[in-house]
Amino acid sequence: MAPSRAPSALLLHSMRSLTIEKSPAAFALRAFTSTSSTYEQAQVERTSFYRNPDPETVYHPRLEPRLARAGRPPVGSRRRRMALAQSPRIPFEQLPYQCFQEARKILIEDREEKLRKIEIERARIARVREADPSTFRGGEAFKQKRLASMEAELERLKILADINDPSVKRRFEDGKGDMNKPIYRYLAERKWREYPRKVLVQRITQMKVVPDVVPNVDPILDVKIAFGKKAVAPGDFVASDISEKPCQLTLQAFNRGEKLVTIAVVDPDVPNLETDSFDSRCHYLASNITISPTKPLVDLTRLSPDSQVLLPWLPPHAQKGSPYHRLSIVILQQKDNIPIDVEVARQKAQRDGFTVRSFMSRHLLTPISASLFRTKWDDSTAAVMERAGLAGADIELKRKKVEPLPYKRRNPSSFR
Amino acid sequence: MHVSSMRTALARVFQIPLRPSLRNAVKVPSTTTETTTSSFSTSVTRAAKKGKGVKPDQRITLIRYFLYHPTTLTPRPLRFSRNRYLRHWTIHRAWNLYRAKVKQARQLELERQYNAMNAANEELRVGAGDGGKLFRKAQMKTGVWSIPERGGGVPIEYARGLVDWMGSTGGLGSSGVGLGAKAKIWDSEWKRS
Repeated sequence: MAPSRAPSALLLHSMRSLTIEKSPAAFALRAFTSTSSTYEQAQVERTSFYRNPDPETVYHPRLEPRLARAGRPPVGSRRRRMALAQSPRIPFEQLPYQCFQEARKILIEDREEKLRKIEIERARIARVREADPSTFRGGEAFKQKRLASMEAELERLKILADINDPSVKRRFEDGKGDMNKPIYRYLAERKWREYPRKVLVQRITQMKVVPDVVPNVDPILDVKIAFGKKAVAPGDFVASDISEKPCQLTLQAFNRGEKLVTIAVVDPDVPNLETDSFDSRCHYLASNITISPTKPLVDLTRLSPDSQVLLPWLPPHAQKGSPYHRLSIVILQQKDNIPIDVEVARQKAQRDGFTVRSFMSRHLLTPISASLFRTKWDDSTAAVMERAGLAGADIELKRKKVEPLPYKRRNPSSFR
Repeated sequence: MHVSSMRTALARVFQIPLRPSLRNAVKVPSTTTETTTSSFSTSVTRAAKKGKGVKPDQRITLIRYFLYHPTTLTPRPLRFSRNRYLRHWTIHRAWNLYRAKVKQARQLELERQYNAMNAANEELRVGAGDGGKLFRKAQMKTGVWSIPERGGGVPIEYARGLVDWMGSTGGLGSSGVGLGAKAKIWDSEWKRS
């Protein structure tokens, strides 16, 4: 590799009038930055501003209501609009800062190099794919392994090609990133792993979802829980009347492709008075749910009762006096995206005594994420239980009084 | 002038306590009563709540700010507008990329040189046809350190690394005992006789 040269002084002088040259057609998959067309639009609209004010730049109080009436309300504060109207409105990529433009040129050059490498890698992959597996010493297994590692390298190169682009960064920060593209998936995953995933892992381990409900889980999906418009953080207490209707889940995947998942909502804290311990109960079970990075929303009410739902939603409820119940939500991936036969699974699935472990082993599932919310007895629980036809709302549970051993009594009879 | 005394003097001039307590930092006796109007806004500036006084002069706020957050001790955080931050970020990324590429190129060049020398030595050892005698001779280090006038290579002075300050013993141990006690780099007792 030749060392990349520092920008020469000759280039620096012609910077202001410089437009960035097009990349060669062979590598021009996508321009480094798509120059926004707002500049041209602003030029056109400015010809008769008072007739046709721009909601981006209108700042006179008399013009604003007219725009609002026309259904195009002014954008941002008046102060910002005024500043925008009085600025030359040069697109970000063409801002005449010398150092910035030099930096952009270095980045563009690097991107072109990366695109070249992507082309080479693609050609290599195609060659390996065409090749006869008997030519490799390890045979077909070696070929598949080789292909997988080459694909990973290709993905890495795709991310590296775009990671230095300020417009990509801006679009991601605005939440306008296209999750079909590897760079936005990468950025979203990085952001998720930075903090929200750590919180999630902490909650599911501290509240013992991990050994109690699933044996082990390394979350790769971002799970967001919402009841209607109310978002619930992992581990929050949810009032019984709010959780009466099923929740909406956002299962954000960061890997390419669709996944077929099973969602189980399990309560492992059902008090069992006979055995003086706790049982588990399934509050919801649905299989064959397709998620992808672009379609993360799963509304548990909208799932098809014939082909997806195994056990419909049972409102979470905790009897008075019982310790709080953990409603753990487990996301299980189905092996090789093969759908589960719902009719067969439905016969085996039972609410009481449901264990995720046996369900996992029966249908070859692997947990890919987990989350939870909690519920306890509150004012609305009795009404919720009555509406759901559940008995036991009139019972208050109490802890058994444990008689202290004689020598631990504070005032034993032998002292008197 | 010492920093703390300067701060004391400034504090006396502006009649403010030297150590900021919360009450003093929040409640500011307003020295100016004029209303400052923003150049951007076309509407009249009003205080957020009635009954509250006008804001103090911006200059006083700034003086206080720099007294309490002196730039010599705690540098101000970088606060950029979005575009400016993105420009800053772009330049930062490009600079890092450039540095990484230079570093890698340098590394590759060193590797190439090493390999070339290695190959040359190997050729000398195996391919010269003298049983490696020439190679062994070439590897001997005698006469490397010597005086150029006597036909040597590098003066012995350069065997030690050149430093700005070599210490009282010139790197020969502590000055109390042993060799270091005799080694003096400066004889302060010396008199012209």
